[in-house]
Amino acid sequence: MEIKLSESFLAYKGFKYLKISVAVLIVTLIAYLAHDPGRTPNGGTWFGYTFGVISAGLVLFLAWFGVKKRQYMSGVDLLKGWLSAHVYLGVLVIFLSLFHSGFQLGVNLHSLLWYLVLFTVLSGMYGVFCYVRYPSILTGTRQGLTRTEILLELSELDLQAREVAMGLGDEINTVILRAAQGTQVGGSIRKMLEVEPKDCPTRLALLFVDGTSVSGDEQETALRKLSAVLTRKAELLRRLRTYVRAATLVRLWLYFHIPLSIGALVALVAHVFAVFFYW
Amino acid sequence: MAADYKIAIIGSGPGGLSAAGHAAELNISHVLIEKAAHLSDTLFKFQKGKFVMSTPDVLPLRSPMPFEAGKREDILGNWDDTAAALKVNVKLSTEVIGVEGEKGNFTIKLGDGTSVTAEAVILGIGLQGNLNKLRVPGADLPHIQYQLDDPDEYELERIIVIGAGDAAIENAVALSVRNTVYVLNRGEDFARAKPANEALITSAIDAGRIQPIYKANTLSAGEGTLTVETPEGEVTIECDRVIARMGASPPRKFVESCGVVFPSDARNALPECTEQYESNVAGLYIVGALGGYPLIKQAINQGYEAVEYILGNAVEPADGPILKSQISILNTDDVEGFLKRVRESIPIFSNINSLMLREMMVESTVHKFAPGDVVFEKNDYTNSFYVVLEGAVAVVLDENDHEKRIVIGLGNYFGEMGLISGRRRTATIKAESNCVLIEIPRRTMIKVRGNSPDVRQALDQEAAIRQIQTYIAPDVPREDLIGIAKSSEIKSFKLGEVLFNEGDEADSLHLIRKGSVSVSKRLGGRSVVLNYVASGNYVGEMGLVSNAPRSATVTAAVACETIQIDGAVFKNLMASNLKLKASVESKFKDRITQNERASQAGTGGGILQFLLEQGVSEATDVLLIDEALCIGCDNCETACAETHEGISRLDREAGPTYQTMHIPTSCRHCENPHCMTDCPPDAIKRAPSGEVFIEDSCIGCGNCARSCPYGVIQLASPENKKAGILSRLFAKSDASEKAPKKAVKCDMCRDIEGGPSCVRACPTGAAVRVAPQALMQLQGKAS
Ligand SMILES: Cc1cc2nc3c(=O)[nH]c(=O)nc-3n(C[C@H](O)[C@H](O)[C@H](O)COP(=O)(O)OP(=O)(O)OC[C@H]3O[C@@H](n4cnc5c(N)ncnc54)[C@H](O)[C@@H]3O)c2cc1C
Ligand code: HEM
Ligand code: SF4
Ligand code: SF4
Repeated sequence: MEIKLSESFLAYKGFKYLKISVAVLIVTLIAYLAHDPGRTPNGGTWFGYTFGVISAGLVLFLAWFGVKKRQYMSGVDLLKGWLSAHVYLGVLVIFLSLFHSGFQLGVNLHSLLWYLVLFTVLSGMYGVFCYVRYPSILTGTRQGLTRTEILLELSELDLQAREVAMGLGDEINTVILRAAQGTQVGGSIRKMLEVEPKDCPTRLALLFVDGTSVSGDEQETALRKLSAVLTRKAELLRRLRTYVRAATLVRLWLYFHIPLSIGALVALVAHVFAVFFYW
Repeated sequence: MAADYKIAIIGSGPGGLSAAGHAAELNISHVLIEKAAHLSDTLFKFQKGKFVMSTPDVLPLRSPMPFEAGKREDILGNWDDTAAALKVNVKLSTEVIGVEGEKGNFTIKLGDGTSVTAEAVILGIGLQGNLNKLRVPGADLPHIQYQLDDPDEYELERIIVIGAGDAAIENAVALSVRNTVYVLNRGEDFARAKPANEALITSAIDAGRIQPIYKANTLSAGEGTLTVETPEGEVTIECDRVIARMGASPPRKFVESCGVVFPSDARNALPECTEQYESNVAGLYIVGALGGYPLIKQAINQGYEAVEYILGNAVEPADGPILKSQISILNTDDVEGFLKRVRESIPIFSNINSLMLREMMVESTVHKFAPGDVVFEKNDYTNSFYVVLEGAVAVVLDENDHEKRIVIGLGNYFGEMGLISGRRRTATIKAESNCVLIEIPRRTMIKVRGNSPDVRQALDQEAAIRQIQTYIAPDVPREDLIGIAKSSEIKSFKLGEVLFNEGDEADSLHLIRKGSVSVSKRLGGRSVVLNYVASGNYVGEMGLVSNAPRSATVTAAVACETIQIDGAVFKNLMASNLKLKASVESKFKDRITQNERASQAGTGGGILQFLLEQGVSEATDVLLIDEALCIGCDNCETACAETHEGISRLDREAGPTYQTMHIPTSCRHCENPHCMTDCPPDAIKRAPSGEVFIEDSCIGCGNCARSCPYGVIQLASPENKKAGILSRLFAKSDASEKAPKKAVKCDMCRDIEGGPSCVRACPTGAAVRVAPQALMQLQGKAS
């Protein structure tokens, strides 16, 4: 916008949570470096415990976001503020938990927790990347039309194509009919991510029409008209598919982020349980 | 010669039917004449299964015709049965084309050339008017229709829609989903329609979904064809169906032809009637919607009462109990005495007709205030009108200085500025002494003003003085302003109409009292919007100060009203008042700088122009989405639905976009809400903090949805959230079990702490709510 009315969650309150995160990181890093546990650093020291509690608290706070997001009725605050905190404090967890464990990673339940958290965080970071990258693609491809309007326009082009094809051969008519009935946008995840699928009946129809030659002025005009209609449809389809792809990607990562975060929560409970009962 | 009947009743809506029922019940010779082939055509045309409401609940029903809230079919069925049981003498399929004669001997002329005579006539023809029909050879062929109930009924047909108004566009667009649609337009554009509909049809035409035929005149119809004259010549189009939506002519002409007089030309003017519903034509009574009573129950009661009055019986009007409860605060139940007192002590109401006064009081509230009580606060958005019936109030000019106040005494009024402009209150009003005030709702007062030229003139004059004082010349004594107000003129401008053009002679100043205007200039061959000026400000001072021709063109951005002050008069005033001169000159300098900057920026006006074109200047709060941030998660819509009975009141994706600024379809809480104008139970209200909301008394008639130019009102039945999952699973999905459909729209989450849920729930910060005035002024300064 020419006038800055809105403020992204990333910039919320002048990057308040970014600043907090960086400050916490610097302070804890200095503390970590300055602290001499007297033996191999691990989670068992008082220092380790402190970081452990903070990290666990943070993970719980991060997971709370899922609840917060659904509390539409209550809460005076903006969700974007929560997301801002979620994002910046989320990255912090990786460092704090490393300080907690003294960078000891192996192949055990405790390390599994850390990897789960790591992948949750990484998926979250990818999510932020998506939130920054895809909005302009989403709107750019629609060019002011709604999805329904694009679909309506597509079916209108189908009607036109079939009308023009009427005077041409059976073969063309079959291809056109298939293009009208068989062209799909979306469907499986793979389809939703494809912008120009090779087997798209409309694309095939266009190739077929452009490769066909006919005789007679009338027929030639019809063929040219048909090619034009199909080209328009193909272009519209490309736009719609670009849109669908962006809309899918901007959401798809959450299907990793949420299960990973649930996994991390479960592992966290197991970790705490194991620490208190078996050590 | 004795008349055929004692009473002839024209129109069998709730009003006429009730009158006929009562006459039949009393064994009085009567005839009920109805144009349609069934009783009560207006209700007959309601959507199938529509739930009809019996507002106002406090009003008792008096009539042999039963009526309680319920399904359209049940109500119509009951009425048919009752009419048959009472042996109502009804002539269906008979249109009345004229009424002549006088009390005791009326001749009612019928469409088939015959006529009947009666001693008295009750006119209950409602407000639906006559659908304009095609008047060409073949117009009565079966493929030509004038109504479209369900667009989904037709498929793969070739359909011609005639007309360029909202109904035609809505039909054409809905049909175009499954049919080939042509639109015949006599003109060259669709500017007459609401902007939302204009956008809809333009995009449908651009996308090739609808074929327009412009400058077209229908010549004739044949079996499955329509012949049309176009600039290219005559064409005959084969078609399966023709839907002619050419509007309806309001019944006013017909009523006037019966000799009935209307007090003014205003659109909402009502025929002048006595308290007994008798018009200026003695013996001719007017009941129901035609007389200004837009609800079924009112119409039914009036039908009953009119028959009683004709028989010379005195009946207490049904609104008696309501009025009694209104004035109970004054410890009296003498309604007549109270009405007399209002008329005698409040000069602007001294001449209004009794029926109107009564109706006004039914809708008003009587308040008692103690000294120091606040009546309303400065910057509130409340918009009712007050008159002082006892005691006095004071306009607070300075919160800290008790001396700075203007006292408004007995018989005077206040609140007229908000009434006109729809803007925030300009000052706080406190009770000066113990006082009694009558609060009249905005819509009621507008109706009174529209129907009484006296009230209108008195109000306009006084308002002009107060407005000039408030907005231009606070230091000029009132006496000096009276003359100026008298010599000035109230002007109305339609959207897009020009107040004055760049280069015109500067002969006057406009104080905008309602709406807003845009200021534009020709730069490099095209017109560029430089600025926007809201109501409460003046334009046109530049030419007066500099003695030069107009330096810019000023156009109404929405429908406007201005007080046009003569240039010479204004110059005189400036010469005699140095403070005023200084303030006008400083505004002049500001504007020069601002215009200069805006022209330098050149295209800076783009976004301003976009906002103005989208009517944002009449909004008080608009939802915007920054498309550079929106991820399309629709959490805003989910939040809206979650907090509002399962129905989202916003459509994020729809609506216009400029660069990355998107205006989704959602209520803008307009300064002068269009939606309020035709709401029968007056259910649309504005809260002190500005939000426009719909009360439970909504009857679901859909008028507001039609009036809103921005298409933000839907008719929906709330989801039954209280029912448990199990009962919802096993409940039969019977439509009639659903709650009745009512109008729903954004209420700015007025009952939810923290404000609009859409904005709160947006994870990315894309959704924001802004006061457009601030937005546009910001733009003016920024560029
Ligand atoms: C969609 C919609 C929904 C509504 N819902 C409600 C609701 O839920 N509750 C409520 O209280 N109100 C509702 N209303 C308002 C209600 O319909 C009217 O207040 C009521 O119908 C007015 O009654 P009436 O008798 O004055 O006139 P109408 O009901 O309009 O009846 C007039 C009759 O006169 C006939 N007529 C007209 N001209 C002639 C002529 N020249 N010769 C012979 N006959 C003629 C017409 O055919 C018609 O039958 C709704 C209105 C609409 C449009
Ligand atoms: C252990 C760490 C984390 C946990 C447990 C966690 C958990 C969650 C949960 C439960 C949600 C709600 C999803 C939903 O209901 O829709 C969520 C959303 C999200 N998280 Fe995380 N998260 C973590 C770390 C991060 C990090 C580090 C980032 C970014 C750097 C991040 C970015 C996001 C984003 C962008 C969303 C989507 C917000 C929305 O669209 O509503 N997360 N996370
Ligand atoms: S519903 Fe009323 S207030 Fe809201 S945008 Fe429409 S006309 Fe304006
Ligand atoms: S909640 Fe925000 S990001 Fe989501 S769709 Fe609405 S405006 Fe866009």
